[in-house]
Amino acid sequence: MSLSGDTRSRTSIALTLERTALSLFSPFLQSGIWVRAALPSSVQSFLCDQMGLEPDYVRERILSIVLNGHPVDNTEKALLRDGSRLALSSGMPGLAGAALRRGSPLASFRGSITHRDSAAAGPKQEGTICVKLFNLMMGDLGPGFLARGILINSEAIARFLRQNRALFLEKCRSVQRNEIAIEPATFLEEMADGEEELFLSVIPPPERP
Amino acid sequence: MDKLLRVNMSAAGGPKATEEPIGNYAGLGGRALTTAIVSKEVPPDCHPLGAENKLVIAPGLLSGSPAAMSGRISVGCKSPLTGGIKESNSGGQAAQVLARLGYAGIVLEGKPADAEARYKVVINKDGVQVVRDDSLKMLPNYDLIEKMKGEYGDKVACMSIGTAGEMKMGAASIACTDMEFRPTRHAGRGGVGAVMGAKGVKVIVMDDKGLKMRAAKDPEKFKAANKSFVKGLQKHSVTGEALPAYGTNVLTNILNEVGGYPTYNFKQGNFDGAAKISGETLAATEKERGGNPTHGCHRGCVIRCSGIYHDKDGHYLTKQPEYETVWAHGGHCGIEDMDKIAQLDFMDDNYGLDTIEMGAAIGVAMDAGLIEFGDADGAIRLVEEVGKGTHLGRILGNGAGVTGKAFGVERVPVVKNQAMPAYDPRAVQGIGVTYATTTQGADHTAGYAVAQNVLKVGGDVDALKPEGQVALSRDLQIATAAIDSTGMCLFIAFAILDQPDTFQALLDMIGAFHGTEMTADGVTELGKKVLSMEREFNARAGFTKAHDRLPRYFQTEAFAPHNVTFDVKDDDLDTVFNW
Ligand code: SF4
Repeated sequence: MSLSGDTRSRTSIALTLERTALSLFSPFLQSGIWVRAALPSSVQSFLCDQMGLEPDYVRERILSIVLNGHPVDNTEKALLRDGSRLALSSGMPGLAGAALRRGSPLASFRGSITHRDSAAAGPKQEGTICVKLFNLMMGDLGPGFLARGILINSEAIARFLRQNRALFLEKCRSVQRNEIAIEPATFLEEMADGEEELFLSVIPPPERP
Repeated sequence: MDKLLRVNMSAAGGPKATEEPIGNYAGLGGRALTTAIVSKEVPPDCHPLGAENKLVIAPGLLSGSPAAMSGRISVGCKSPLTGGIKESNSGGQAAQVLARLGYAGIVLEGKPADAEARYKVVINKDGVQVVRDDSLKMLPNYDLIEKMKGEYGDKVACMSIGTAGEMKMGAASIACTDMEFRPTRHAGRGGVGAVMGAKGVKVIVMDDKGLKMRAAKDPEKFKAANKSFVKGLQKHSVTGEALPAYGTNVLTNILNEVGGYPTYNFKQGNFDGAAKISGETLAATEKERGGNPTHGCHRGCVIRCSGIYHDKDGHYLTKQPEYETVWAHGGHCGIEDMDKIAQLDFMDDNYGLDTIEMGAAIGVAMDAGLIEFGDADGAIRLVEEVGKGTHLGRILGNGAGVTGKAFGVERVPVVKNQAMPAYDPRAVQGIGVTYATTTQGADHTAGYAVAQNVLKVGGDVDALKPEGQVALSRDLQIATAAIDSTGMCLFIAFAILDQPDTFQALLDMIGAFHGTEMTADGVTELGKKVLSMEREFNARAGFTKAHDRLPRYFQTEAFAPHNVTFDVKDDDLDTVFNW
C-alpha cells in the first residue's frame, strides 16, 4: 500500500488525547504509519532535519534501521524515496539482533540482505513514506510522529477506535475536523461509515504547570 | 561445590547414590563440566537411551552465590535426537539450589532393572534419597510439581520430566521450576528428557533449607565487581530496557521486517501476522490482563526478560513465551493467535517438550498436508497426541526429522537431526555457519554474540567481508562455550559486547569468587577446550564434515523477499574449527 498524491486536500483530524492513551496507537506504529516527507532524503536527514531528532539520539538509541527490508549501516547514504518503508528499532538481543545493528561487528552475517548505498538525492518534493516504530522507538518517537500527523485510512482508524471505544471516549479531550471542533462521540459515529484517507494528528493536552 | 553426586540406577539392590570428590574435574562448571564428564565417561558409540549413557547436571561456576545472572544450569549427555554430544541449559531455581547444596554436578548413570519403575531423587542438607514412586508415572509436569509441593513445600527446586520424557521422545525436555514453583524453564534441546526417562528418574527434588549462599574468596572485590556488572547490565539499552520491557520476542518485528523470519516451514521470510504476535503486542496484552511482562526466571536475575501470560479472563495461562517458541508455534506454522500460541507453550511445558522441536515438527507436518498452515486448533490437537503418546504423537514427539521422514517431506529444517530455530540462514548467513557446524545440531545459542570484539579470539577480522563469517562464527562458538561454562545467562552478552568495563567486571567477579585471576585469554582457552572435547566425542560417534552442512534446499531454494540462498562454501565451513 502507498498513500501518495496530494496529501494536503485530505480531511484533517486533530485529536487531543491524554498522554496515557497514546499507547492505544501502538498497533499502528509497529505495523507502519504513513507520513509526509520532503523526498528524496537520506535517512539521517529525514530523522534529524525533518523529524528534529538529535544526531546523538539517532546514533546512540536507534541501533537498527531497516529500509525497504534491508538493514542499513550508513544512514547518510541510505536514501528515502516516495513510497519507501523505514523501520526503526533500538538494539535487539540475540545473535541476529546483534548482526542487524548498524555497523555491527557481525554485519557480514547478514551481508546478503544489507542495504546497498543509494544514488545521490535529487531535488526534493513532498511524498509519503511508511515508518514502522518497534520496541523502545514506539514510546520514544511515537508521540512525535503522531503529533506531526500521519496519513491513515478512515475505515482502519474507525475499526480501531470502535474496538477501543470506551477508553477513547474517556481519554479524548477534543476532536477537530478540518479545524472545526466536533464531539468525540459524533466523530466516532461519523467515522464508522467513512472510507477515505485522512490526515490524522494526535497530541496530548498541554501539561498543567 | 567440590563434590559430585553419582546416582547409579543399575546398582544391585536398587539405585544407589554416592558422593565423591570432584577430583580431575575441579574448576569446571556448567557446560565445561557436563562436556568433560560425557566425553570422558560415555562411550560415543553407545545407545543414548542405554545404560552406558550418563545424564550430567551442572550448575555454573558462580551459581548459588549472590552473583547476578548466575542461575543457568547445564544438562549434558549423548543426545537421542542428534546422536552427538549435547549440552542444553535452563534457567529456573535449580542451579542456585544445587550449588548451595555443595554439588558441582549430579551424574545419573545406568538404568533400572525394572523399566516400569519411576524414581524421585531427593537431595537436602542431610543427604540423598532415591525413592521409588510409581504413582508419578505419566504425570504431566504441572500435576507432578503440584504433588511435589504437597510433599516438600514450594521452597524447594525441582527438575522433572513430563510424559514425553517417560516415552523417551527425541523432543523431550527437562523442566526446572521457577520462582513461583512452576515447571516453566526447560533444558529443551536434544531430547535430554528422554535420557532422564531412560534412567527411570521422574523428578529430582532439591532443598537448600538451612544452607547459606556460597561465599566469595575475596568478598570485597567480589561485591564491587558484582555491583559494577549489574550497573553495566542496567545501563545498556538491550539488557536494561528492551529485554525487560518486551522479552526475547522483541525480535519478531525486526526479523520479519528484514525478511529473515522463517514462515510456513521456511518458505518465505515475511509473515503477515507478525505484528499480532510480536513482543510489543505480547507485553501490552500481558499488562492489560494483569500478567507481567518483566519477570526473572530465577532469583538474582536483574535483566528479567521473562514474564507471566494470562488468558482473556485474567488467569495464569503460561510464562511469557520466548521468541523462538512464538516463532515455532506461530509464524513457522502460519498461526497468528497469541492465546493459542500461549496454550501450546503451556502444553509443551506440561508434557515436557522442546518448543522449538515441537513447533518445527508441526510445521513439517503441515507441509505434508496433515493439517493446514494456520490451523491453531489442529496444532493443539497434535501436541495433545504427543502428550498422550498416540502413534502419530510418537512420530511428532521425535522431532522434525522423524516427522519429515514419516510423511515424505523434503523440506525439513534440521542439522544433525535437530530443528533450526527462528532465523533463516539464507537471510542471516552467519547464523547458518553456526547452525551447520556446531557440535550441538542446529542451535542459535551455540554461537552467541559474546564479547567478540573484546576477545578477538581469531585475531582481527574484517567483519564486513563475507569471509569474515566463518571466523566470526568460530569466535562466537568459542566464547559461548566459555560463557555456558560459567552458568551465566547468555543475555549478558550485549552489555559485554558493547561495554568492555562490564566484561571486565564479569572476569573480576569470577576471579574474586574463586580466588584466581580470570583473563580474557583464559576464557578463550576454556571455550576451545570445551569445543575440542565435543568435536572429538562427535567424531568418535561417527560424525564427519558431511554432517556440518545445512539441508541442500537452503542452497537451491531462493528465499523471498530477498531471493537469497545460503552460499557459504563447504570448504569454508570445514575451516570453522581450525585454530
Ligand atoms: S535474562 Fe531472562 S533467561 Fe536470563 S536469567 Fe533473566 S529471565 Fe532468565
